[in-house]
Amino acid sequence: MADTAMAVQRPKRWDVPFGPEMTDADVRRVLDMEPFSAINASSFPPSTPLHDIILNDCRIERYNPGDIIVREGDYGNSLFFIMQGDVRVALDKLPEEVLGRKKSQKKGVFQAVAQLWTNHRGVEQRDLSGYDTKALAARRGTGTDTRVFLQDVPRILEGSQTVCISAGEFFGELAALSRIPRSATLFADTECELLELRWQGFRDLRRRATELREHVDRLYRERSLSSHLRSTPIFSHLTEEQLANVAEQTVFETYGEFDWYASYKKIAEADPARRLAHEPIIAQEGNYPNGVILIRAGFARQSCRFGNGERTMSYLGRGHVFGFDEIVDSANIEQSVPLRSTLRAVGYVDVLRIPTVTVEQFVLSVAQRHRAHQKPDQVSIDHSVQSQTEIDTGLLEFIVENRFMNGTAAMLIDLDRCTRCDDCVRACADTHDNNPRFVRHGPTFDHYMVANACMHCADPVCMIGCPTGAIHRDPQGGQVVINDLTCIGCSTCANSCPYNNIRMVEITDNKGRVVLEESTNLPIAKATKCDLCSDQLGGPACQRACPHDALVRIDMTDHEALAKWVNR
Amino acid sequence: MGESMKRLATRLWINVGITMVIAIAIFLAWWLSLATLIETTFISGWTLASLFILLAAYNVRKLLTFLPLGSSSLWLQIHLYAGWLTLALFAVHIGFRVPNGWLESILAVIYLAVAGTGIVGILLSRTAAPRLTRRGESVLYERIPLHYKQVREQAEELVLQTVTQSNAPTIADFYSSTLIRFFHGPCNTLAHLVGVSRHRHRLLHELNALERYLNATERDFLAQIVRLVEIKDDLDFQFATQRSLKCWLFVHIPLTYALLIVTAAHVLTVYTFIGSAW
Repeated sequence: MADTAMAVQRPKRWDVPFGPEMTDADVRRVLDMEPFSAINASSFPPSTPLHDIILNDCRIERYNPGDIIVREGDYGNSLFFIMQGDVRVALDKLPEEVLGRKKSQKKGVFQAVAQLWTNHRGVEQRDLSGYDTKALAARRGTGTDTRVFLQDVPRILEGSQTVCISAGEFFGELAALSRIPRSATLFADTECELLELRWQGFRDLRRRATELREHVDRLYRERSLSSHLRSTPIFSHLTEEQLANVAEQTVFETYGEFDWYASYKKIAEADPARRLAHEPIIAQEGNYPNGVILIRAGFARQSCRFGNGERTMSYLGRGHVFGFDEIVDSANIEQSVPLRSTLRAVGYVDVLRIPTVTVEQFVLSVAQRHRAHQKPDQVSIDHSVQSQTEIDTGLLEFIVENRFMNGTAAMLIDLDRCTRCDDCVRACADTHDNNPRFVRHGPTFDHYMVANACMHCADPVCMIGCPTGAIHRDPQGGQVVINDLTCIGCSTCANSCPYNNIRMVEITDNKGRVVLEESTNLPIAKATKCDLCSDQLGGPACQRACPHDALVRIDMTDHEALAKWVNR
Repeated sequence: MGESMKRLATRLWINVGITMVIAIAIFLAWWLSLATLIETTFISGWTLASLFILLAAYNVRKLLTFLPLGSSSLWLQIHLYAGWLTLALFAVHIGFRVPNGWLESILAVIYLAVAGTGIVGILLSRTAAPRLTRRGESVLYERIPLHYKQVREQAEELVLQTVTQSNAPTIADFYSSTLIRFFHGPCNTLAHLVGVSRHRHRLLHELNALERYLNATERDFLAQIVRLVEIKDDLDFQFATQRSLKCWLFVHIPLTYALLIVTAAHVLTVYTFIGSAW
């Protein structure tokens, strides 16, 4: 076969617009509205003009009364601007079933034992009586355009507190900016028209439009910065007033790309230098530490120079601190101590930078006193440094390159102990109606394998875009679960999962016949994945079933637990 | 489980220590019973029977995966050390003599077979896993036939290409006389189980010897075939080892059930004839 190279045009940013139906008239309409009319279009570079951002990174969506726009706990990568109509915010938690989710409930002992004889014998068999549409969350539309709406809104909201927001207001900006779960459920109160802006466009608008940036930063400072700082050990001793001062001085920074999952596999194949080139530097080894860096969302690689390359020392996730030790050391020896390592964004990372001056003013004296009472080997407050010598560097590189640090319950198998008996697979099948929800196979490093099982990610990209909210976090345990009854089989989650841990299956009835959709006569598909046995007694059956202590469900962000397990 | 017990080596030594202490206590009790003429056969017998039931219960635990009955690894630890203890108890129970009744002899033989397969199983489990990790691609057992097929088809394709491109039948002849059997399916199972690789060296040596009769094009093909031979041999290793890891249980578990049945018969017999003995 002749290997002739085929020339194609290099893909461009706006080859696939967010809303293909957007027209120039729509753009003009948006730009005539406050606050967009106040944005100075000339401050945008010719390569990304304001007009084109609105045209390609926005879409106009219309909602009927009761239509759910965003659900509490969902993840999203867009924010909304109300163009017309009213949107109601449910301040209290709405029932899970109303939102199209599965009610979190563990099986009793009898129900657990009954699985011995109630489990179906065939593959992916379902009891179709469960699919009675009347019992399910109300839906309209098809495919990815499906919308769940609230039926009998007054009854659902009885006793709940709500707030109405109207045309001209934004919502969803924090979830879009920092990939944190939506903090409330919002639904259309009247017929309304919303402008949905994806994060790429929002990032550009925020960069160029000062008013918009200030608005979003103010919201974040008001709503969640103080609580975030309070939960960080180095600030936990501060008074409310001091904390407010620190919050005021805090700078928000975002590095990398939100859609890291689209390209990381290709990047992982490149040589180490090129891989690192894809990771924006947050703080450089040898530089003056100009502040303490708190990781707010996403992940960062901590590395130091080694030969002609960089050796990964650790990876940092939400809540981890970088640069604090150097500031404390500088104060102790009264001489500037440069950063001992480099911090890079892996995928995307959202950080808070507290300037050195602020740290010196409010935190340092306490930290110095704290250190005076510690042994020399216990002085590190940076979370990352603690385990750097305990986990093999190669394993750290493997985890970072494959983005496994995203997993809060990754299935790690020690192949030196695994006898390939498949007791884990059988246990999984026994607890999931005879259908195993993982494959005992996956990327390996030395004698460790990360099996193809849902890792219940800290940044669950699979949860972005589910039209019915069928994939969601379990309100009790936080596991990412799928409600089989409300899953419409659109494959959005399966296509989004960067680790290929969600499988689409065609379901069959009690007699093993393929279930077909009435209108199209096509097989009905459902998304399936590991649910960490959230409804079973005793936790993940796979881990409990391993006779040789070879399998563990482990939080990859917990360096201490990981180090302890690999160094058993 | 305590912090120190989480370290596998610590756990091993603690468990071995406890088992040794209990085993010594059993032997001491037996020695004392000899000196004091106290009848201990019934005590050792019932203890042994109880341990058999405890050991067999592990298989029931494996079926009830959805109940919080303790982790399988904890059960295996109990299974292993209780199993070692039965050896001491069994020796005491039979009074360190060879049984002479036919039922007792059958029981003893079955027990020794169960214990033997258990020991073989644990040795296999502890030694085979690291070998599987370090040799060849880590493949799922159920997918090995598919891998065999792919390797065979690649080999056949290469052989056909050598004929068409070099117009010489040397490699094709060698394939039909020697390699066709090798690529056909699993082979050298026993050699892989005992860790002998003479067959691999012999085959590679023969392929190496063939090289002097080939031109440059054929040598390129031969190098690719050598690579496939190595892949196929690694697959054979994976197949043989994974199969042995799965199959020993098919001997151990039926023998366990047989042991329970014959033990019940033994107890029945003992109580039937207990009056005549006293």
